[in-house]
Amino acid sequence: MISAITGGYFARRLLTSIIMLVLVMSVVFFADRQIGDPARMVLGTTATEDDVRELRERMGLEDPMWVQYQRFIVGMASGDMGDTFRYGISKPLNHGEIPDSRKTLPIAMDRLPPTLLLGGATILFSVIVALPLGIYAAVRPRTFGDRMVNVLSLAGVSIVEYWFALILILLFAVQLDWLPTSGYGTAAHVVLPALALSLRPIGRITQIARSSMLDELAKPYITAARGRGIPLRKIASVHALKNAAIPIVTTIGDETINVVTGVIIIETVFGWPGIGALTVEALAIRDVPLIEATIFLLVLMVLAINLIVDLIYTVLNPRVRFGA
Amino acid sequence: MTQLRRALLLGAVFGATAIGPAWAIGGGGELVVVANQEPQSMQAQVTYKEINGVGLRNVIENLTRLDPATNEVLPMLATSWEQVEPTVWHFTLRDGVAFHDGTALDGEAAAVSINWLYDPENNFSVREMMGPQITAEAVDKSTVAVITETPDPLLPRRIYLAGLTSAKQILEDPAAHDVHPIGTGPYVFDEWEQGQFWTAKANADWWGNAAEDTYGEIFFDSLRVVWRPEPIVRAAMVESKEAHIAMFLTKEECERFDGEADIKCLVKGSDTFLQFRLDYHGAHPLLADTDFRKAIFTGIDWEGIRQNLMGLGEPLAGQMLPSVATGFHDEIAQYAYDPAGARAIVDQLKGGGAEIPSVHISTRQGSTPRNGEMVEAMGAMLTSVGVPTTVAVEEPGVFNPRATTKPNPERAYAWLHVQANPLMDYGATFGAHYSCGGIVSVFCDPSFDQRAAAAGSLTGDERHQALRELVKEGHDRYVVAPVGLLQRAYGVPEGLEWDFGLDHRIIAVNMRLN
Repeated sequence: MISAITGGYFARRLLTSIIMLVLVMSVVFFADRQIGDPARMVLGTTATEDDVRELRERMGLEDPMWVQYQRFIVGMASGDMGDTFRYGISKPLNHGEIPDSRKTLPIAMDRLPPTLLLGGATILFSVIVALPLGIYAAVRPRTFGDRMVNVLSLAGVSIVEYWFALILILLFAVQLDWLPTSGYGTAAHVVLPALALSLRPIGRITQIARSSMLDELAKPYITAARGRGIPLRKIASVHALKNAAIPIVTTIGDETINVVTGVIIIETVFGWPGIGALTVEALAIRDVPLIEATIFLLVLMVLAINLIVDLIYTVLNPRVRFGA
Repeated sequence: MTQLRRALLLGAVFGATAIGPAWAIGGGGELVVVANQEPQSMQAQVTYKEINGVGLRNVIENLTRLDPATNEVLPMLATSWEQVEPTVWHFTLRDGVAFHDGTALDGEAAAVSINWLYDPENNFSVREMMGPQITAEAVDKSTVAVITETPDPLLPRRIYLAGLTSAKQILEDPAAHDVHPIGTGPYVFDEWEQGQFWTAKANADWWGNAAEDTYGEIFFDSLRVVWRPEPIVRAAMVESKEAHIAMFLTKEECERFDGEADIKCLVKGSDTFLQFRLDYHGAHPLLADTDFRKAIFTGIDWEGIRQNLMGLGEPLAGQMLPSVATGFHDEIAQYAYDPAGARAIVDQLKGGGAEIPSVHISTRQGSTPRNGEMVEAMGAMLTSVGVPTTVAVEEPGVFNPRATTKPNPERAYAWLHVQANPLMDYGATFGAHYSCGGIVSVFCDPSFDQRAAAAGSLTGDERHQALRELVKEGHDRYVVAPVGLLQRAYGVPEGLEWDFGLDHRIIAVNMRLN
């Protein structure tokens, strides 16, 4: 019975996610058509109007907008986000022959593992640091330690990631020579970009963990438990934490989404070959199909994170799956 | 059995030592270059600008090359050349040169490669430096004829932009040509890991190892090109010894290097200049009025902008190219800042009943550091002398089409943008910037076109004098205001010896690390 209800709940959530995906990608589709003529961008300054028209035809840009949109939606449903004419290929005017092209979705998919690795390391590190800090501050309110945690968490949410990333490079790679400045390939390469990305999640998760735990620790059952002589550490880590978990999980989910969007800047700074850096490259050269493929994957990741958070809710609080 | 294997192994080692390679190469380890952007492709054509495919000239070579010190045209894959007819040049190919796939460089292979580069249907961007249409055909095994649609005395210089790659690859697997370059150079392409790096290994069979007129010596065993868009990260890679060359550092990064003992900044002028261009015809009759144009060109403090905002920029003497260029005029100077004079001209025009048009000044996002501040300063200066302005930093998708549009009939349009002239000859600049049919030209005077065409067909001192007069005329008619010649800065280790010219080619055989 419960599994049937859970299944129904997830079916609804999945349907909502699909609708969201279509809506977001529709916005991306129409926005992309406003950033200049992709055919002219590909061909550069030496092309004639005939050349531009021919490439526009080849790219399907001469079709009515609703035909392009229909093709876009059907392509998205079948996992075909179109061909790139630019990335690695620049022979678009091979008259009379099928132009060289590459599918954009496989190009974007190739960049997914580095982003998942960086995002995973960031969130794992953030949770490992932030949860104990939040709990520590909550069980010692208004102490020096609590105030220090508050200052650190506030700094975490306030400092700009880009600036922090450059400071990390100058400190740990140039001055101390402990870690590589940038790049990809070894465990050491993950450290600085993950640190740069984890600043904000650590701040936010610490703040929410502290306030949720403070609320929970003020409840009568905690007072009763302390009256029974149960050590505060055990009360906090076993009883209070479980009940305070929903807002913390929500924040971890939100921050994971922020990490997914934050990789666009951090991957570019660190030369990390993930989907964020690819999005920037695609935007720089106005490769519309590639922009759409990378954003498609980023949106998919966000929706998947939301679904996972929902799943965790149902475990933490069974009333969620009943729609309570 | 084990002894036999050991003996065979020892024999092989000693045998190899005794015979050895024909030329001992390398020993310098891997040269790591950090560029500011990843190449879009590895095609031979991208080598016409170093920025398009950083380091690719180590793999792909050309018929001719330019002397880094004098900019003189020198032999490379061609040992000599001759203009046999006004439109036909014969290039004699170097003996014994092979592409990295083993195929020989002969007349036929060179012709296929050149035709591929300049084929209108491929529409490669190298065509922007082409001049008259170029085609090629084999004369015999060791000679290729390069034919131009109209006479082109610049051809031996122009052909240095044409990278030659394997004809076999072009004919049999053209798609591979985009990602796997096969040249004749001192380094053999190894791998392109898109998003991360590309690598090449020293070529033990390179013709330059044995030739007396070689242009370098292989010191580094391999080459690795990586890319980081942030200059501070590129600089950090040299500081932390992860890279040997960090490209295009800012003035601030170079200043930071000043106190360092083991790294330095190499700064040198380039073949790229920053220029201001104002529509000559189109939206308003005053645009063709020499007095009004003088008010605009003297109402902006070019030297102040160069010194205070451009950062790394050399002054230009009121013309687009430096003194080494053919056609350089030594008697003209940068437009002097004269806001009072400019204001007086504008007031006089207004007093005569003229309506002063609003000038829109745009620049392309990211084309050069602080260009947004520069157009803002220009706008403020012109407004202060009575010329209303709007300014904008535009995305390439907006800027590029407008830059190639002929005079805008609705709006007085000006731009601030970078342009390159690797040929260092005004004959190559007039076509694009001063002619009625020029790609980015907004100046049109058929008489000027005729004289420019006549000057373009001349050679030697006659050519220089004819171009020089046209440069003076362009200056006096206020067609284009040069702001400065871009200097490029590189972060390198103190011990790196590197010889490079105005084209800033990153050629590993011209380097040695002490």
